Amino acid sequence: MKFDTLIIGGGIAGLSCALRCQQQGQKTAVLTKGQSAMHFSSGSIDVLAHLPSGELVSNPFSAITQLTQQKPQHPYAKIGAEKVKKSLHWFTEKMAQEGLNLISHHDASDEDLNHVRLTPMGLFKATWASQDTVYPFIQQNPAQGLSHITLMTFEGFRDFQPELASANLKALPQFKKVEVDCVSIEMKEFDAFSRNPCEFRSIDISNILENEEVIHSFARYMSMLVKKSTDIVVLPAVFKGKKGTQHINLLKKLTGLTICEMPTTPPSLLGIRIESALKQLYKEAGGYMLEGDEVKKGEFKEGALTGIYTKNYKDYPLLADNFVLATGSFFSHGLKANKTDIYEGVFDLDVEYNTPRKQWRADDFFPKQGHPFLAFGVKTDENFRPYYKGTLIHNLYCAGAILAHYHPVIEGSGNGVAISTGYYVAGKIINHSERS
Amino acid sequence: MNPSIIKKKDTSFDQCLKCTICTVYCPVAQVNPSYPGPKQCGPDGERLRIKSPDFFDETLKYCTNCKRCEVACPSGVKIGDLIAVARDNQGSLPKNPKLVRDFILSHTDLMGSVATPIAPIVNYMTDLKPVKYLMDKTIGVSGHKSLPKYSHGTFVGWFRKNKMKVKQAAFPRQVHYFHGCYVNYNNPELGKDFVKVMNAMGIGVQIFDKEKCCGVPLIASGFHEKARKNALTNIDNFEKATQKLDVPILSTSATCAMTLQQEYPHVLKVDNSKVVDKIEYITSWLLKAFMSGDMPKLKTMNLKVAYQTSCHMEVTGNRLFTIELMKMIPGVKVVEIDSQCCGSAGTYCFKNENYEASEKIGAQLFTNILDADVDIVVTDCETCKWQVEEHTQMETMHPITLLARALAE
Repeated sequence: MKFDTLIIGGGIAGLSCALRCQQQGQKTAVLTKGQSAMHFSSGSIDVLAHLPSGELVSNPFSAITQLTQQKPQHPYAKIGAEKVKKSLHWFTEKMAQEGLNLISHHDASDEDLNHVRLTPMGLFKATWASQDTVYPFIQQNPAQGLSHITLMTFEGFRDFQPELASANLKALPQFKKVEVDCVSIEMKEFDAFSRNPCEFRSIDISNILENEEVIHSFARYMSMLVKKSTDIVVLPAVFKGKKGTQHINLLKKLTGLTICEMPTTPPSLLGIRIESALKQLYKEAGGYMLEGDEVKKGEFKEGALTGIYTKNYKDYPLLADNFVLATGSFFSHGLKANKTDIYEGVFDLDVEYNTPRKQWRADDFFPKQGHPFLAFGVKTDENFRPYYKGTLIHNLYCAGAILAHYHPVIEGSGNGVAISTGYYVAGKIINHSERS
Repeated sequence: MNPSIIKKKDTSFDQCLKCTICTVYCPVAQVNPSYPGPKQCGPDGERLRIKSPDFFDETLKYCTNCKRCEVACPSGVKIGDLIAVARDNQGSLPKNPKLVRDFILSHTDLMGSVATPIAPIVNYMTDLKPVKYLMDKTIGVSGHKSLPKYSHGTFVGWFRKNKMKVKQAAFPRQVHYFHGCYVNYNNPELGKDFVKVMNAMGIGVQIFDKEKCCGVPLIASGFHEKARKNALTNIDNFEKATQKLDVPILSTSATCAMTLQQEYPHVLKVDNSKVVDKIEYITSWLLKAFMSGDMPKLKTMNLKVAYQTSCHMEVTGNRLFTIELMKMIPGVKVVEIDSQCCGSAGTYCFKNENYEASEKIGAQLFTNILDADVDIVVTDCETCKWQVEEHTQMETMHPITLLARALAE
């Protein structure tokens, strides 16, 4: 079977790329080996939170200029600040079409600003856009405009401990005068999970909350336990799908409270919401999701990848004019390591990494500059095309966490690099196809 | 613990990161809080079951074996297989009248050969309200469900009566056909459609001297020994038949094909290595033939078709072949319905303890199908067909039936 473009990897980078190609009239498919790292994501879109020098960023797009000076090989440097911005605005427009509103702060001259979101540990992380159910705290002073907040959890739920978060919040000078309440709700609807605490996760709660009647009883408990004077109620993200969003609104209406979500440990329903919206748009545009499959072999000919063989399609090759590799980093098995080497997991493409092994990591567990291995990745040209044994593969493009020379954790740039590189290589592919 | 025990066991469950993504995509966990979900029943439970079979949990019976957990798993854990094998090793058959029900529902070829000669009577009886009520109260067949209708006369009967073996042998090319219980006892028309399509391509169809149920319903109800016996017979027949005539073994059942290819070695531990590469699901084989120009003449159909992806078409990836095949019929417009379990899961929905969950699982799918505003529904799976027809009243058919209708006169 022949496609115009075949994308390997169904995370945020692969799907962004696939959606753009498909909406431009290409015949595409996305091949995935299991669900993506979006199930581990906050569901906020980080573009750039810190420069490599450690400086905190307030305007993520204008800071790309400084980033380029500090790290000329960074993926953003190849794309350019303007195009990075364009791609992320394209992304939020697409999400809005699916009813998922991503909100960012702006300054007086309408320039994009980072805000901070609250983590289950009671810490703040800088990000560019959050879903409208997540409270966007102001970066310079997260307590601004707040005098009373309530942190809520479910009795027996292990993935969010309000007391722990509250203690960390109270340690911040800005929160000295803010009242922080901790509330735990116990409902008989969750009794089925008391047999085993391991089964009481965000997804289990979300299944019970699918039922509208339960939302009504949830609202009654909430009204009883939460003080009316609270500015916001923060609870773990336990609402799934489009119905979940409706149910948050219903809960707001029934209680009159400002209810905000906070990402949980996986499965993260906020991250899943982004992925579901992307997949929905992609399928509606006519794209093929080939899920639960795995590339077994690639066929290379004269510096081009001509086809792939997979677990499901065995001796039947999937052919395409262009391919995109968006298989993620170590976590998603895009990159792999043995005792001496780091290698690329699908085609064994050339990888940039330090040798010897002891230079893969820093001595501290939480080093300021991050561990070097997180910035390792596939070596690419200016158009994100990789090399195989030194030869450029001219119809294969890379996007997202498989790329080298950026540090998603330290920079706070993971989703931003994924979306912008996915969007950018889609543009290269479309232009190239139109020319030929 | 004795290290040799670990060695003997399959420890692939160790790849599990405990991310719980499988449970997100489990159709049963979404609607039935009594089911602990695939992570708990699969890799988590396995860790304990290796220590002692006492940790076997009866809730494993709620698993439908849809394998959507395996499609979702980012770490390649064979979660569905873990659960199926645990049920084989440690599960026990019900010690109550439900055993009768499970026997009846799972022994599809035995029941089929008893029922088809007197099909009109059996179909009439099983549709009577008092009979349904009695079956619900005594042996636990859900009184809300209509049991599948038997055909009056089997596919094999038709094949023999019409001296098909000789007629088919006259074609220049040949294939073997694993018809399965559904074609033989419930829908021989699908088998005849298959023969029509093959013949239109100049290909003759051979059936096996002996064919046993692939074993899927037996596995689902805990009759693993019987399933293994069937598997051994089938593989033996395949080996003999392909030695005589080395041509592909095709199946029109998505689930039978998956079972013959994957469940035999993975769950039943039956070696199929000599024939596994010859077994193929029909649309996969046909699309490749069509794309290389080997295609019968088709007429224009002017049909809007909703395609329902069955769970086992999702897990094998064969869905792509069926969709592309349908798109090759002139005038057919395919609307792909978001891939979801219909809740039938073979014999699962007929058991009264599963009825409620089964209805909840399929509810959204039926709404989506009705909203799609199509002329017909196509699905590769026999039990999806029953379930979709029952809940949407839409004409639902196998892609081969659609193709047979599209053959130019």
